[in-house]
Amino acid sequence: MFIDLSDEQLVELAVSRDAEAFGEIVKRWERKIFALCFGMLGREDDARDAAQEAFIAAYRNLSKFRGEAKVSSWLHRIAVNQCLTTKRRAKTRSEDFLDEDKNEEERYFVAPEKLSPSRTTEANERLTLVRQAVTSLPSDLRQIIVMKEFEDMTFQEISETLEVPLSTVKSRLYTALKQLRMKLERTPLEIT
Amino acid sequence: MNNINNETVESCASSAGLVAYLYGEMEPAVQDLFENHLSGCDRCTDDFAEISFARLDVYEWNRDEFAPLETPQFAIPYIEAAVRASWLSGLHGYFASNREWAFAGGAFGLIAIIFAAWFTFSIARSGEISEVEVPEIHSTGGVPENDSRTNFPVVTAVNDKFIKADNPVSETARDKIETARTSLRKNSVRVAAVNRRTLKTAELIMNKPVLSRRSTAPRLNDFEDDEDNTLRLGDLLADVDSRR
Repeated sequence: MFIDLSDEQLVELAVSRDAEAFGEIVKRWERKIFALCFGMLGREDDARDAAQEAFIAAYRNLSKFRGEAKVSSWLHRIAVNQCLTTKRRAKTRSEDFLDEDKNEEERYFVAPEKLSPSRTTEANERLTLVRQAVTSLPSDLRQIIVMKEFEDMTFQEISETLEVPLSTVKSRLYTALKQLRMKLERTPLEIT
Repeated sequence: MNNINNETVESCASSAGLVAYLYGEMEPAVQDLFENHLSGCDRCTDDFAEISFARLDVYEWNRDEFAPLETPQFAIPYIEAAVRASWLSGLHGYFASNREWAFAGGAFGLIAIIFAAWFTFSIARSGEISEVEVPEIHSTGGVPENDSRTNFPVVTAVNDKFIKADNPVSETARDKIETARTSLRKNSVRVAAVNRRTLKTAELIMNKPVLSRRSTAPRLNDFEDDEDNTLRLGDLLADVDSRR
């Protein structure tokens, strides 16, 4: 029903109190907003809460969307502000779940949620695509991805291991992630 | 103008700054400034969202496919050999560094060798005694005087064990033993010389037992190998003549 509509058209429908239109927006953007929140907060459960809060905030502020910016940027900004609020709240309460001294393994490896069979199939297909995308990267970029994500090395350690400047390591990783993003953007499974 | 990875905060963050923030490796002071910038910059927000999205895919790939796997244990032969060699070299190094322990160990080993040699020699000597020819066997009676015929030691039988006697053999005891030995030899020769068939034939002829029968059944090997116990006609005639 809403597949052919653009994000802006969906927002217009949602402003007119079409809850299904806003549901389609959530469906299109939940993974990206979750990824953004995970990138900022570093924990899956915190990122999930922050993403949910961001969509609630977006729904409440639909009337303030004036179409000057893209819907993606509008949602990104709401999500970023939500994550910053979460971080400040955590710092104020001195909660330990965002403490820098927290165990890194606990931070990164959280048991995945129970998925439905269709979602599981989608996830498996997506993993296949990601594997193919990473494999197709140039070796110097793939090397950085593996060392950072799989070996959990710091930028300094990678720099010393590869004997390249620290800024080179960071820029290579940025390039690798950008190329991955472009490769995965072409796949039909982007919208989950 | 604040600096974030050699770039100003008022301008957008560099790619290095975005990646450092994404992986939590930005300095805390710079991080606050960057977050303030991020909340108001669509360009940085969209850029950051893109790399966050790609990073989430890789993170989930790692989490679902590799994190559950146990770290494999590699067994490399030359490493194991090096470990074994290091164990011996460690032992050698320990004794080399502790000369007192090395001296004590060497002394203990020398004592153990001496004790083993003495024990072996003792066993050999006890074997020689048991193999010595025993000329005199005394089941009862006094201790015999020293036997002048041989130089072998005198051994007394007690419960089937031979005990070496240092006392000399007496003359009286020797006579008793000689008498008993002669009597035993005669009886055994007589018994062995009489054949069962000979006895039966003699009893039929003389109508009385020649020798008392054995209370127990004769054994198959109860004869001497060098004796010929077959019935001879000459013997029967001799017995008949003597009876007449």
